[in-house]
Amino acid sequence: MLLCKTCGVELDEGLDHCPLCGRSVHDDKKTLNAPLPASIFNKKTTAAGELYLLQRITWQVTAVLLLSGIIATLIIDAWVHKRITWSVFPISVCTILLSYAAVLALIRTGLVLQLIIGWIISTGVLIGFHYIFQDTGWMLRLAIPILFITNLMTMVLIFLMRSVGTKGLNVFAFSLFMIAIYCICLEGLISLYTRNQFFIQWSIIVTACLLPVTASLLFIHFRIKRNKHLEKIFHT
Amino acid sequence: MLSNLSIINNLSFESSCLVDHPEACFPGAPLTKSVLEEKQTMLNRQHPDFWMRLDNAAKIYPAVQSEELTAVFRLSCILKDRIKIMPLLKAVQLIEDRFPYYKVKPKRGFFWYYLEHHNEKISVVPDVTTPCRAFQKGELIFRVLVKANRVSVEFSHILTDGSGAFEFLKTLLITYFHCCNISIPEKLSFLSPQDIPLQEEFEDAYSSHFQRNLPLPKNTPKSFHLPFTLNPVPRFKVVVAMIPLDAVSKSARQNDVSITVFLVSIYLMSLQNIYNRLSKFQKRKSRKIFRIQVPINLRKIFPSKTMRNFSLFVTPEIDLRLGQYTLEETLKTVHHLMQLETDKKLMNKIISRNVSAERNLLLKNTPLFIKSLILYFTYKVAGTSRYSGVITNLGKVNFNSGLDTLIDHFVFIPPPPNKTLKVNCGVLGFGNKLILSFGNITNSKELEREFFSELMKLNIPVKIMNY
Repeated sequence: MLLCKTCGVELDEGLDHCPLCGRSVHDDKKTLNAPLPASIFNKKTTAAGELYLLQRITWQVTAVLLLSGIIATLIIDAWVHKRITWSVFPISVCTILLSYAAVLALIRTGLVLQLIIGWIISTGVLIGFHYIFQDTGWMLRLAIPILFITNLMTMVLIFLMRSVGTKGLNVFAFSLFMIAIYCICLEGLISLYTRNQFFIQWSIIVTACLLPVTASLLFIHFRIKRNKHLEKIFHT
Repeated sequence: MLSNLSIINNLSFESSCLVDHPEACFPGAPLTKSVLEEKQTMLNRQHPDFWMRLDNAAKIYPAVQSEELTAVFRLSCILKDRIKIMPLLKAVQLIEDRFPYYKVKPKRGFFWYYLEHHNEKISVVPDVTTPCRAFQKGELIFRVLVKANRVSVEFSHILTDGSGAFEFLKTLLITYFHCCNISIPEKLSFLSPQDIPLQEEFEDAYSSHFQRNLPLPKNTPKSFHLPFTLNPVPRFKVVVAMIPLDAVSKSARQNDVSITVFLVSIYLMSLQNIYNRLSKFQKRKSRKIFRIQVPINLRKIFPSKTMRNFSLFVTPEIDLRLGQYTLEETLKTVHHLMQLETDKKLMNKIISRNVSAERNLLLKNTPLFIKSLILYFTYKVAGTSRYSGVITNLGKVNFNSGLDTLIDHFVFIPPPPNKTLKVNCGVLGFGNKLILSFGNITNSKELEREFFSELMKLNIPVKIMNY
């Protein structure tokens, strides 16, 4: 009689593995405490390992490209102007991207925490550049608030995505809605920097266009979702 | 009739669907592939994407459940021989479509949660972790677990109560025996995998038996609670004990009470003993009313074939402000209180109160996130403060056939208790074995010890089992 050493159930003759836990019937007692073989239990672990490897490769390629960009723009700017001028913009952008890429690829934690760490590092980088390159103040008064708003919006979007069960057109709807809010914040921040007052104009038009589209997408999403009626969502 | 049944009403189940296939009648003949395919096609055509409202008892659980307070209970059958895994998997496959109302997932609506049908495979997993663990988001909210000679089913209370879950386990066991080429008696009463589910099996029986404008039952004061410290997470631990049914039955008969009344009285006596050992300060602080919640299967009182929740509670009590109780006095009090409270008219009153609350115009039109907060805090504040303990007796299992010889015993493990209640107890009998299981989230086993000591004082032997 063949027995599974994990589940204790009786296996049919000819079975190599327990169909429940995936353990081989030939496992001896020494291997009982070893991790279970690739089966229903550790498929996720294997998939996570592959994902991590892919992230590392992507990070290495991204790092090489961004560092090359930083060095190239720095050399050209310094060569032409004999000092750092316009290259501070691409250098800042590339450094921020580099720090996010590093955090996302190398720190194995939740996405929201990764974004927070990335935001802290990027903010530190911008403050550092502000003092190193002695810019006109756009880093402190414009770049850092925009970076904050971008992170905040991304995190809200992630929360919305995670809280919905079925992902369909509602994903687009939420994204468009967040873009509308983001545009208002962006224009407000730029106006605060340039005019010293909160002033919005074009972002209202963007929002007015996007909100009906968002509402339509949500409506269609709930209409076509499985049983094509809204009663189950709104029953009292 | 329920409005949520409007969807199901349209399904128009036909119980005679397999009339053309007499050769496939279960038991006695194997389920042929063509019959299964036809049944699947019919089910898909009839209810490809149905949804159901949560029944009245289930409505509270999504708002209060957590990794610890899982609202998941377990029924286990311990066979005399090891489980043969391939026939078991085959049996699970055969009963896949018999219980469509269980293949649902809880979803958030705007005003209420609802159950959405998902035709996913029933999860069969090795039974190697803590019993009654929570279901993860996106899972079906029941599972089958297997270990050695034990097959278990775990159900979220959102889906059904012990009776519904037991019918599922019964069908699974009989189908398993059939797959092991064991002959099944023709007169055996169970939900055959070949039958199409009846419309009544889907129904919210609370709403079906709801009567308007009944007077409200009177409020009960808060009761005594065990003063033990909670275990660190994960808190839930189970002690399973076996007592001879004939010995318990004899003691109960001597006092002219049922086994449930007898066990509730023993529970109350154990609580009284624990109270008596408290310090003066703790005694002054504790409440003096000892009240036990005893679930009652309403299918025995109201005609219903529902496979969803349909139970209510009676709450026998003793009041220590009146003095100490002897076992005889406790038995008498519990017996009469239970006789009184299981009256159909009183049950109607409780159903009416519960269903009226969910139909309250203001409450039902409140968005779910506010409603969940209200339910959560109501449960936190008032939830189980009225009870000192719970005993769920599912009764005695008897297949009345040769199948009984293949089974050693059954175990019922109630859902993990909350932080107020701390301990609960499940009872299930089979043959001459009455199995008690105590689910406990504290670091003390004093209640269990007291309970077993009280039984042993009455010459009822207790054997602690390795579960």
